[in-house]
Amino acid sequence: MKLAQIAGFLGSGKTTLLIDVSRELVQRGHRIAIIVNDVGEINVDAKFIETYGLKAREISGGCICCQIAGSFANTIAVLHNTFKPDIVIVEPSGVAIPWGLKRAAEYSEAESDVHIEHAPVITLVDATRVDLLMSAVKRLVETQIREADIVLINKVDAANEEQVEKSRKLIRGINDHCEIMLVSGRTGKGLKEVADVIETRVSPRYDEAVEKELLKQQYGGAGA
Amino acid sequence: MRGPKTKEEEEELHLEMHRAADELGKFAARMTIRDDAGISPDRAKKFMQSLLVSVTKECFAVGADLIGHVKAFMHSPDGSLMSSLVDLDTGVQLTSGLSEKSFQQAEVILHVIVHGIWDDKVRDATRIAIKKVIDDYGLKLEVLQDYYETEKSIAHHLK
Repeated sequence: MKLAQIAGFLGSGKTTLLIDVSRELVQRGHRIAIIVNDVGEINVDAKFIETYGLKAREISGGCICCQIAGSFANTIAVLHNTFKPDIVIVEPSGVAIPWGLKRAAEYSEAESDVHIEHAPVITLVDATRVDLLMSAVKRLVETQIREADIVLINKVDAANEEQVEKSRKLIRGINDHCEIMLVSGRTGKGLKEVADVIETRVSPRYDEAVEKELLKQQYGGAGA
Repeated sequence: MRGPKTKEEEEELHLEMHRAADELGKFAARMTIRDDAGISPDRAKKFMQSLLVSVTKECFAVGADLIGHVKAFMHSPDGSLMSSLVDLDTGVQLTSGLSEKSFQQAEVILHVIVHGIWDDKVRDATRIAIKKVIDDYGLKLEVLQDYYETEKSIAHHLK
């Protein structure tokens, strides 16, 4: 079973993209399940996603990369045993750490006969708010970009060229190996390409040494 | 490549990560709105727009400097309505699945995440805004659940 995570700060357009990509993948014949996790106790996204006829599960009450990793793993195992999706798309909270989420997903292998394969980690960046976000929540945004395989510069229909170029430079300054794509949830630009990525490509499994190094780069610590 | 070595060092990094997350103030509430004379789909949409804008402005008035996400989901017997606000200039984005029919009651789940103020201030500002908008629209309100206490996301570390 392939797990695809679509990360990004709050308001970056994750839910809209997730719905559109999921519908595209369903049209291609895939069996898709969606897991959403929000920072808060109540999650409104799962209810919204289900209005599109998609299978959604919400996990609330904490961050699925650490606090409630057990609930996340159990949800994946139950989905595997009952609904049997071939792709699970995860919308982590706007503050989750992508590598921690990989580890949490792989815990599900102890609970069922599922084998987890990861799609490339996708992070969305809102081109229209990049300056604001970097001044207010720099570390969170940096973490999500640093740990991404592919960064999508979103809302390019509403952003001007300068904002898009600034976003591109910012991303490249934080993560020099990720791919960068331009997308728009509103116009559908890049939608099929994102579906292709999830459908055909894979990303490495969890590696503790890599996660520690990423955390150290981001937050420092005694090992630095 | 060299990472932290002890459990204490790992805990410290973990806590630091959550402190970064907790730069955000959060509040959520689940409630019902009611008008025995009926709520038209158009009025419902205007109510949701007013609610999100009002909540956001109240938060900004007491020190918030960035919207994380202010969103609300309305569910009535005749459909649902999603509303989302991340930028006051762009305005509220609505995705409507409401039918043409009016309804008397709907459940609304409101979720507010902003940067620059803590949870208690977000709660107080949101409550003020809800009351104001409810009064403006002449609706009856029942708060079913208030999630203030459970929004404190690093509470599990504070032993």
